[in-house]
Amino acid sequence: MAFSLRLFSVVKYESVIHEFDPYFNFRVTIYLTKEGFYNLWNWFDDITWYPLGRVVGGTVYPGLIWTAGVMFKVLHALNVPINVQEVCVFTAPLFSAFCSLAAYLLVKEIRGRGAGLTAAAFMAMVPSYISRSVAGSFDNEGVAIFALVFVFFLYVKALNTGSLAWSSAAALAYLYMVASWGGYSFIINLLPIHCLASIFTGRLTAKLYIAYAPLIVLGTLEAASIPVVGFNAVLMSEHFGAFFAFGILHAALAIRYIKDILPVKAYNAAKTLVLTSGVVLMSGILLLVLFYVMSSPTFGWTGRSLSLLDPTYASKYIPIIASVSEHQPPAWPSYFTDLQAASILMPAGLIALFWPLTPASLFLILYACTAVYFSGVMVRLMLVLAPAACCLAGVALHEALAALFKGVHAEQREQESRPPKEDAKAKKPSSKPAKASFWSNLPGFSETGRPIPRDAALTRGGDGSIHIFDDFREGYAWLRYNTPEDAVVASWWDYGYQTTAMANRTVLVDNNTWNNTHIATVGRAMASPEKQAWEIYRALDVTHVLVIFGGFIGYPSDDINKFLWMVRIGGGVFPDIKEKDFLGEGGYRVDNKAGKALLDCLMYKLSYYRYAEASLMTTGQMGFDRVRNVQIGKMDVTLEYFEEVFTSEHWMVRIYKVLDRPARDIKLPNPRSTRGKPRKSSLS
Amino acid sequence: MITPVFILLISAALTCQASAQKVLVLLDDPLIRSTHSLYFSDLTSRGYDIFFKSASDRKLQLKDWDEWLYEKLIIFAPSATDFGGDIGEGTLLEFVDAGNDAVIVVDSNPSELMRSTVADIGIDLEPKGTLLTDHVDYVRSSSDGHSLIASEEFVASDAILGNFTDRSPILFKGTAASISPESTLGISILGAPETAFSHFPGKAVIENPLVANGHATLVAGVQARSGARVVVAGSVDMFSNAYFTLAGFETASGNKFSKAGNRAFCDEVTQWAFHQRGVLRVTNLHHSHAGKQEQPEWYRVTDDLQFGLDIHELAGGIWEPYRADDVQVEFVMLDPYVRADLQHNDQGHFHTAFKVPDVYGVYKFVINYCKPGYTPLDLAKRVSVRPFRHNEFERFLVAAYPYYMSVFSTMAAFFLFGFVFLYHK
Repeated sequence: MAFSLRLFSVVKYESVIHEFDPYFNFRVTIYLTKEGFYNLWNWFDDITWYPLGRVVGGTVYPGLIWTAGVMFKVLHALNVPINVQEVCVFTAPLFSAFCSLAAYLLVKEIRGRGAGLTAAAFMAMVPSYISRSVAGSFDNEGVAIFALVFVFFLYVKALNTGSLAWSSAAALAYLYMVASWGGYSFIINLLPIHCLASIFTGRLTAKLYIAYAPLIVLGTLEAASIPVVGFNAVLMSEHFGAFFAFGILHAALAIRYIKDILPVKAYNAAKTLVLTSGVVLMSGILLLVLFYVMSSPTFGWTGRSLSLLDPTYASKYIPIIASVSEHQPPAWPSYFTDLQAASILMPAGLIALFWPLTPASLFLILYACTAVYFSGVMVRLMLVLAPAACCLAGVALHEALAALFKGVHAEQREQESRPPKEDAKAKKPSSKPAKASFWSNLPGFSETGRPIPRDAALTRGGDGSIHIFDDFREGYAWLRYNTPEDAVVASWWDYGYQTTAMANRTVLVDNNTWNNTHIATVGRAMASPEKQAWEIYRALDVTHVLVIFGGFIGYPSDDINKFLWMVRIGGGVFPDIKEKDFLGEGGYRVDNKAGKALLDCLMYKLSYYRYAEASLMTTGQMGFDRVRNVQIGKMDVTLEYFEEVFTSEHWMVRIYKVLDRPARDIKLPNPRSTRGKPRKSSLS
Repeated sequence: MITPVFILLISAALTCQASAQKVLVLLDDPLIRSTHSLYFSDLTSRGYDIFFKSASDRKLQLKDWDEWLYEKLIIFAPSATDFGGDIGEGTLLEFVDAGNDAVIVVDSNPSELMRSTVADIGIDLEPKGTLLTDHVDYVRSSSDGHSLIASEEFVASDAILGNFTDRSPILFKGTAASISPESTLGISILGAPETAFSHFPGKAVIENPLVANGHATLVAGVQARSGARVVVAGSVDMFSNAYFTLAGFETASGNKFSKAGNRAFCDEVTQWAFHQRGVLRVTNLHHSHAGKQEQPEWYRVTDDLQFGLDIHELAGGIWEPYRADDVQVEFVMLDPYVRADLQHNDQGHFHTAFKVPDVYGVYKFVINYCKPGYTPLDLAKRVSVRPFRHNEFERFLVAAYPYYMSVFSTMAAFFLFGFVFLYHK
């Protein structure tokens, strides 16, 4: 069911890849299937981040790509001649099915089979997860959530059984998680929290040691061998917590061991000795670590993690992280739309888990609490919360159903013990509605769950709605077939992955936002007057500029709406770009009260070039922008250094050519010339 | 990636060699044909087909559909307010933008048409009615007052001046021009003496003239990016038979000259404008790993590479090896990481070898060679520089021996410990 639920998008918009990041993953997967594992590892991609290039092998989380690559190879080995694209499209739904299984196993391990089943059912249809794992959403999260839940399951299994085999299996699953998604740092921080909580609540057992210690050691080693993580696994602050808990765990075990072998008096003496020396030693190490951490400007944290701990950090210092809509804090209603019934059942499940409080259920409680916090900081991490919410909701629903059915069964048993048969017949259906109402709920969830992927496709990938707007693919196809192969396309970074994957052209910046300065340069060019922008682009060898314009059909996430971020990001590096110059009366607006710098800047010109006449035909008003619902501030937009070469059917994709330097130098400033005007006689 | 300029240059160079090139001469005064006959006969003797037309000729035609009817254009029409036939101001600029050469001659009363045409080519003429005047070092003559000037301020470029080697002073009477300091295309072929200035004749000079102190340009040359060359001269008389054959003159400062250099100068400058000299051609641009031949798609950081190209110069209609020690190549990724002089072997082959910098990215070999009088070379060729592969690093590092030691000693110690712990009770 989890699998089929996610195929509606294929039915609706054919088997295509949606959104931005999946296109990059798709492209890398193609590279993997063509060039092989080692070439991918060493891949230096020279058509992105021109002219810096990107070492893809060392900067990508390869789990998803390996997965798709392996599936592709296996299918081909079985003589199933399938296209890479189909493999990529169906990877996420497949793994969401696995994820449901993993959720079943996890909750079964904690609360038994019934709770596991309900949790798996929730997992299969939680909208937040559906939106990220519909067919065509070929993104890291698609497999990473499965890996996340699976690691938790193996950890809990190891915790329950105390078996080294399960613990090693957890370490392997952790390797897969690290390879798949940067969110692995959630695991490496959650496990220590659980470990510490267990120690301090007196639940220290050999099982905990077996579950935790090998995972940390092996996991760190494994993480360090994934190129993109590398030495970060021991150098970045995200991982220190794990080592800290590792130390505490050993100390606690040592204390217990000593307590066992020494008489009480000697133990007390030894305890003070060990504690004082231990405290001194630990404080020395802590000082060293602190010193190391303080020496880096972000205290050793990566920007993204820091913005999690201090939600205001990104908006203050790293506009590029804050600019991504996924990184905004979610609105309250989104908890209900994203989690549906799970959000209501969650607290009940949380409470249910306290009776009885086993180490395993403690783990689930901690998981849920931390995930709630993180999801409150970033919309994107709602995805981490989703499995937790499902598990809790599963537990709650199971408890509720168990209580209900206990009543029903008890009643039935009472009735069966009594002779009258009609009564039993009359009563029996009464249990059915209860079941039926539960099952009939499912399509309800999926009905409401389904609009989410369509939404994503329409507003973010632009691949469809009731009228299918295929402008993006139209524009990229134009680039692919009408520009020289060494053309360099400048666009805002959102479209970088798609341009490289669909148009196969070199781009300046893409969604792998590793170089803020380079992005700021593009932002600066877009925010500069035409001539300066032209000079910047010429210096970067840009031949074409691509802008996304939604004013014609009312597509809201276009470049004009993203423009303030370009200004902020550009201004963060180049102080000559000031946000207040672009704000008109009462904020950001594009009508005749807009900021003067906005009306002069390249982005405005490229978006509204020739638009005034075109909108007269469709809206009956000169230059009426359907997204902003205003008449634009400047009708006669003329271009001197750029030439329009392509505008898609619904004007969503507009491509301009950066003109060569003119053949002649005309109108250069010449202080020595009066340029034909009669000379003013200043003295007479 | 070779810029289109280069291709245009080749095509321009090839057309030069065609036997008789058609030159259209536009005149506003039919007398010029006789008063300047020596200049035109010099051109004819160089093998040009000259067609004289009145600037206001109604049947004037420069272009037939997409085909230019003439390769070269000489305009002696300072007072033409309008061209006849299909020629407008835009047509002339289009002619230049298509890579065709022109010589434009004006005098002290250029029409607005000529002034704006010249301004669009990048040369700013002084206001209408002004004359270049020099009260200190004028040429003594009966009729010209102080406005006949002998200038020796030549551009230091043999490519332009060619066989005009004696550098006799040039007699000039007309309007001065100026070139924007920001211009990268225009050069002053003949400047004015320091004491000359531009002003309305007969009017009191009550403020500093803008064009003075040797900033004035008498004859300017422009090499458009389309490959076209345009020469703008401020004096019609300069090309006249009278100045060509002047037997001798004396300047106000007492210097006596036996002849003026006008004839040779005008001829040579026209030759330059018509792409007979100072044309460079680049072929065989290549780069490869040191000691190898085939051109790779990419280099690895710190690779050794060699870079070379052939440059030839057009001299007397044939391509000869170019000889210069100032050609440089840059290896650029945002900034030039390497800038190397190119050595040449007297056969026109320029080459150098250097080490790729230890920074990966997409680099360009850039040749940007602009020498006065020569066609500017602006070439770029893109190549990727990739980092080391995972197996190209050193396998065992000397610096890491302590770590290897620690690993093996720990393993040995653990084994020993296990052995002792298990069997030594």
